[in-house]
Amino acid sequence: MRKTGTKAACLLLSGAIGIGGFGFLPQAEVSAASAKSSGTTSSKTVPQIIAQVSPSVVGIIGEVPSEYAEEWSDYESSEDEYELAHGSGVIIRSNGWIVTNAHVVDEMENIQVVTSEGKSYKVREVYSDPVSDIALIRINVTGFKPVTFVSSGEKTLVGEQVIAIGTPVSLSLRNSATLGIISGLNRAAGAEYRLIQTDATINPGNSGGPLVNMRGEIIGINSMKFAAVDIDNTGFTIPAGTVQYIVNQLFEQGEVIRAGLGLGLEESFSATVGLPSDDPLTVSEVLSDEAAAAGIKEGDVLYSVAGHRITALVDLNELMKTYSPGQTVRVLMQSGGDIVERKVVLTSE
Amino acid sequence: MRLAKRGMALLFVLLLAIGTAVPALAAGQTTLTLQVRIGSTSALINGEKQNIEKPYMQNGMTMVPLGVFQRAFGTSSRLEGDDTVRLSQGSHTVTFKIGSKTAWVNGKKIALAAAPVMKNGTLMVPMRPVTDMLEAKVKFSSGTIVVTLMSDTGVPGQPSDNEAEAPATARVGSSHANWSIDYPADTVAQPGDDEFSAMIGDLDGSYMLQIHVWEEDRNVSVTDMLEQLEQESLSAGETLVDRQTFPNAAIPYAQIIARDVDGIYWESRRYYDEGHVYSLYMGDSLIEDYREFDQWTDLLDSFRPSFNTQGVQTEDLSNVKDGYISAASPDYGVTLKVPATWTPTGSGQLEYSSKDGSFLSLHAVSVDGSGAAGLATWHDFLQAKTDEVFLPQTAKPVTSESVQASGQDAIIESLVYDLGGGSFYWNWLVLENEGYFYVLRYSAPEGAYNKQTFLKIVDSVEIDFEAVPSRFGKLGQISYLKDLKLDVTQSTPDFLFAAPAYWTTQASDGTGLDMRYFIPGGSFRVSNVDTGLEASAAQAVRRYAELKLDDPTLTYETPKRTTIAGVPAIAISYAGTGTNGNLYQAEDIYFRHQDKTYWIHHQLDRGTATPEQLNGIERALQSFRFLPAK
Repeated sequence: MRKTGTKAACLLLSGAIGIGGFGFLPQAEVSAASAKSSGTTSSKTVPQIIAQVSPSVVGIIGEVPSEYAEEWSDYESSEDEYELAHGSGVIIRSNGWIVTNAHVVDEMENIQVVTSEGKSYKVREVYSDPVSDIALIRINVTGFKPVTFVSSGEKTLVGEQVIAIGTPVSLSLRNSATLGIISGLNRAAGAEYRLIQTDATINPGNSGGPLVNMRGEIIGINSMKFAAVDIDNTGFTIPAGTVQYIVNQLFEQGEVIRAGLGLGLEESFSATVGLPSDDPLTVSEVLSDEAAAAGIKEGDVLYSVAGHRITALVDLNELMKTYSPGQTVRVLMQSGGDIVERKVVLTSE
Repeated sequence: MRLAKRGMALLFVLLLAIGTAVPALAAGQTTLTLQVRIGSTSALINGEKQNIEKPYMQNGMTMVPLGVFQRAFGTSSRLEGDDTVRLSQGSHTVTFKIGSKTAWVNGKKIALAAAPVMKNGTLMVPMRPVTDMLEAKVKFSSGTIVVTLMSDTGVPGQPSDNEAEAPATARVGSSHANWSIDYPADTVAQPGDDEFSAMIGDLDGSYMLQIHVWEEDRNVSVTDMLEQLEQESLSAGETLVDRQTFPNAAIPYAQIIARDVDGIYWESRRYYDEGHVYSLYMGDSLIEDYREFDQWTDLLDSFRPSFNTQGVQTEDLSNVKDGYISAASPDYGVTLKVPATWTPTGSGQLEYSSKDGSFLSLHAVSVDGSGAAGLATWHDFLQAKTDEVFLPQTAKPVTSESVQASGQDAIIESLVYDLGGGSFYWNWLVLENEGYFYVLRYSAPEGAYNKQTFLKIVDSVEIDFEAVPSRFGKLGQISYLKDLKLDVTQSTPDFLFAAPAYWTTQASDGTGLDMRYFIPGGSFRVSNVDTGLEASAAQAVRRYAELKLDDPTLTYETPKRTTIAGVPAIAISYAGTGTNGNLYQAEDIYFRHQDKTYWIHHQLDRGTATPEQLNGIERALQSFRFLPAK
């Protein structure tokens, strides 16, 4: 599995001047374009961004067992055992790797990818991580235009304008774009990791599609899984950092191997309810031998891991992204009144 | 003899104020203890051996693992932010920052000699800020540190003994006063003012049982006791409703039922057993007919003039252990044990007296201005005071001995004197800490004095040396040890005079002019009399004649005409032997000013009539001045 080269990224940026598809520009213009894109706000218009990114957004269609489809779409249910369901996806490698939501492709048979131009391709491989709701699928093509994810150093701001591109409701509405703003960042919305909140309309079918900023960078993958029913203008997007973490793991291992403390942990009431506080997590169960060996007991309280204060389970999950099982972390806990520092060998969750 | 029943309302208020009213004496309080040793992983927490991270000393501060406070005292602690640790109990908190030498105790910033630090993976914190916050007693004894705290809520992690719904024990009583009774559910039992009274009341305040015990040398019959109860009831203005004796009961008793002035019905029972009279007073505000007292028969019948009942657990309201009870001065941060027969005088920070003449008092005095430069100079200081107050041959030289008290070096200074009435002993225990002297004085006449008693008291002394500096500024010397030459102006609207500062002001009767002072070995008094000048003097002479009937040694001189405060006066000197056997000399001075006759009486035991003391009296007399009329 080849990884995307930086050259392709430059090409994408430089090719953003109103031209759909891909193209090559003279060296001088490449460097000029890349110089322009780094640092300063390039003021592209919404049509320009849509034109730039849309070609990399695909529709994904397949058959799912009827009960499954009802959960994710508002299709009129047929009497058939299987139903057609669809979602969206984003091309991340020119050789046909596409990112989408796990819940889009889980349970799906005969998966097809449909491009903005209407061409269909059969999906050859599926790697899914339901925990994060990110999946990787592959079609047999070359030369496809991949998207650029926002770099980890760049700050996304609440209020920034964003565009959601996807296939809402029906395949005939392929590559629909909706405009909104970032309503909130780092939301703990019941997911494994923190999410971006947006009011760009995200309907069933948008799942797996990108949320794009005004520089044409993908800031996340939209997911209907976390949206609340009957609540307007509150959609959630899996941030680019999480997407890339999952994608890298899927590329390297075919699955996501998560490191964990080997403990069952409970959040404080404040954290569960969403109130700001620095109440720690409580150990409800000691699951791994390694955790037991570190002296951790049920009822102990977890303050911080590797020097980071943890007050919600999402915090711990986010932190664990940078670790693999077998590594040792320092934890600061409270046990029997004493504040203690322990070393725990991480295990796979 | 019989203690008056107070109004129900007041007593019930007192009863419900358990825990706040008389903390040290309230039933159901637990002493929590934490015992650790420097360098040892073994700790004794509320009697249970537990393993902890080793305490150690750093820059003079004792460092202990944070967890000991929670396990011993139930304090809660948590991490706040990244490195702030907050320890709290109720509304009191200590805040530490890991690695920082600054901490906050109840909002007050303090500097630490050592910062909290992780040692072998466990957070160690300085002990003193926490024990200060908890107001716990700390005792150091050769490497072992014992921290004790009184708690109303029992041992942490164990159910409290104070469960009001169901008393932990079936019976309650006093092992010292030797009685016990069933302990009803929904009630709380509390000791009374002393070891010989108690009350049991329900939480709603609708009924209360008082129990009083006193000595009675002669054998008292039930008819005697019935008469006693009747008389007491009538003199309290109560209406008698029923009277009976039960001579055939297991322990014979007399019983009356009466309605008090507030309309509340009381059943009173009186028992006699082995030299003691036991009185039970059951008051029930809900009863409106004396027959309703039948509901209390079982409870009252369960009374026994003995503490132990075979096979039944009895809660002990008595605080007496080995004949000693706890005494404390919370202000001074001092606790100690005194003989159970001593009673608090109710004045001073800590003052006890006994019928046999024993006396104990505690004072904290600033080193600055005390007259003594340090602990080592107390001997000479007290010797100088003794020389000023006692004539040679009346007092033996003051002796000194070194002792240990509250984990510190201390001294005991001893004085013996005889003013004719027999030897009298004084002991002073003196400690010095952070600019203060702690002075515990014990005095008693021959026969009552017991050095061992004092040594036992000294041994039980525990002082939290942070208490006085944190609550007090400069404290003056004990009055009788003040500089003999210092005077304090005493003024009234009509006159003023200068009394030596070392005279101790005494409470007066309240009506009219009556200024009294205690002088070591004597007294000084200024008051008014109703008779005129000549009549007063004549009355005095008649008085001496009367006194002479009981005291053959009494002599008096011819009345002298003199002046005082610029007005004519009559002064009569006399001498005799006091009831305590001490030879004394005294003088009565009468003088008149603006239609009022004044009477000054001063007296000194002969043995204490030193030039310095006589000079003090003379100064007071000479300084007398009438103020211009307004």
